[in-house]
Amino acid sequence: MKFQATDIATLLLKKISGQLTAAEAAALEEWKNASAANRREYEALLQLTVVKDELKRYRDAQAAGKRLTIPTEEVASITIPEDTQDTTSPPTRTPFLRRYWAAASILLLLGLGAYLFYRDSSRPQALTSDNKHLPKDILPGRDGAILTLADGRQVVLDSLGNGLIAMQSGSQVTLQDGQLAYDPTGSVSGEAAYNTMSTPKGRQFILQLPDGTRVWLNAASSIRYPTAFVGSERKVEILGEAYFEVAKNANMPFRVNVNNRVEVEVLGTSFNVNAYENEANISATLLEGSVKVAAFQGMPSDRPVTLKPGQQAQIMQVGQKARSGIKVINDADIDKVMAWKNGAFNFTDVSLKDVMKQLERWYDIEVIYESAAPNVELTGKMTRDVTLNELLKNLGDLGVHCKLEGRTVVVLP
Amino acid sequence: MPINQPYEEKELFRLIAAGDEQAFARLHTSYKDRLLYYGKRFLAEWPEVEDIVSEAFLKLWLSRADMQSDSHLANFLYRTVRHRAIDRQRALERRDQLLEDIKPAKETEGNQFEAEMVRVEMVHLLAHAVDSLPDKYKRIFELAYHADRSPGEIARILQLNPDTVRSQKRRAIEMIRQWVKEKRVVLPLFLCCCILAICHFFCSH
Repeated sequence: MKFQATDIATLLLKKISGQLTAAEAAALEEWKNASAANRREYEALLQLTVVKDELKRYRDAQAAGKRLTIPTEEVASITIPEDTQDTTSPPTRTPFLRRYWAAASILLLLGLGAYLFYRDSSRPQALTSDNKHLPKDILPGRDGAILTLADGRQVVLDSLGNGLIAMQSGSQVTLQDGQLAYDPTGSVSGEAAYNTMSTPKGRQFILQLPDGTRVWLNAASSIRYPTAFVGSERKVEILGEAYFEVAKNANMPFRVNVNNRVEVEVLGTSFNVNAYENEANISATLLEGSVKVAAFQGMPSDRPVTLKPGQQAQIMQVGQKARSGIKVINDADIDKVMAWKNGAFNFTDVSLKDVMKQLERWYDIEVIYESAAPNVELTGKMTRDVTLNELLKNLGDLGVHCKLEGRTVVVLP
Repeated sequence: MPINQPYEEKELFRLIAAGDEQAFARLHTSYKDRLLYYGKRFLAEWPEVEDIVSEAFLKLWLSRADMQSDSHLANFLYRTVRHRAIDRQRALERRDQLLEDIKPAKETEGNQFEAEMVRVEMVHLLAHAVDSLPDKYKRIFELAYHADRSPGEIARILQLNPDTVRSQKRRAIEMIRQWVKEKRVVLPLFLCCCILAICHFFCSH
């Protein structure tokens, strides 16, 4: 089985800090047993002294990295024009070059007259030229997602042009103006194939399923669905937050499996599900039509509830399970629930901690608190297209002071 | 279900293949430390390592048009660094024992390379977790773990109360734990299914 190095590295860190789940432990074990090299690495990396030494070595590498800078404006001039290639000898294959400080020499040979890399002996200067290319402010999120096809291939949808993305069992997948659509081709062969669309922090996306149902996927969320709906029901799975406009089909109920904890059975049309794992509740809010909400592993007394428009079902999530029954709120603040889909933040009566969770997902930042989180409730709305600095400035006006260190926001007492 | 892939990087790789030099500069910034760190495993002197890392980036930029899939690019950089470093080492110390350490005879190079990548990524992540701490916690963490200073010594260096140092050190470790905890891992799917099935089996009995 193919593992990603980053994933195994994360599992090792989780193991060291005693935070492995059973499934993660099993995956790590499998990786460890896959080769003798893996086993050796595993045993070495669990020793504190090894990790400390390696971390020191990494810091040395970072110091060396500051000497190794790359001026963007000069990279721009390094193209490989056809005519230049014709008039100069092919440079990179020449063996003797290898021994020399290659980058500069090759470029001189190429006759392009530009250095790609240069090593700057004065550190502070190198440092500033390195930082010059980094944005000072953090931009808001935008449209984008990653699509995992049935065969495991992944497609990044951020900046692809309009057109056919893939043929999947029973559907053709096309991208049109930043939205992905599945159009049934009529021929479903064999078993249903599943695709997954995921948004990272700082991205959102709109998707149209093969039955015409439209799904708005908020940041740090994902949805798994068949490429063609066959049989007696339409089933999808989600994590994070999504808004659905379900196409009517009385013969095929639409079911949403939320975090494997709650199931929403859709009898009518539009609703929003918010199920981020770091939120206290999974909540399903109905805008139109009717949905039935049931917990998978709730208390025996938990009955599924059927929501009317304007109602919100809340299920507390604790650890691995949905707990303590389904609470129904009668007049949910629809404007607040739907703010994200409408391109806005709505902070009416939202605690500071919850506001910060939203910002973490939209700006791809981390928020920490210098001391306890100030116990303030905010009010107000703003659009989601502002930069982080502008937003933090607004928070400052409301009496919440923060400072930005890299991609970490520190909330000051 | 996968979420939060090494996502930016995939997009970056796509742009580089299309010749976007800003993207290339970002790739350089984001990978150079890891590549230097990796290269140092094979070579003793930093200038040597800096050379081969520069060569690897240049080689990538010049052959960007031939690049196809996305993860391919990171591997390309690491493999280039590895090969060049070993070449150079061979030239420096012919048939030396060191080579045996790098490439144990029984192990295929592919296996060894994969294991090495895990070390690079783990140390990189850990350094990143430490870097994301607020400055004062970071300083205490570095003094405690890199310089092996005791809380008393740190207190003297930073002119703080030793109790403050102890509590801030604890807080720093807690923040790193939290950072690690929130880092998502994409487990291979069928494995998850097995685990779920097993859990389900036990829960229902």
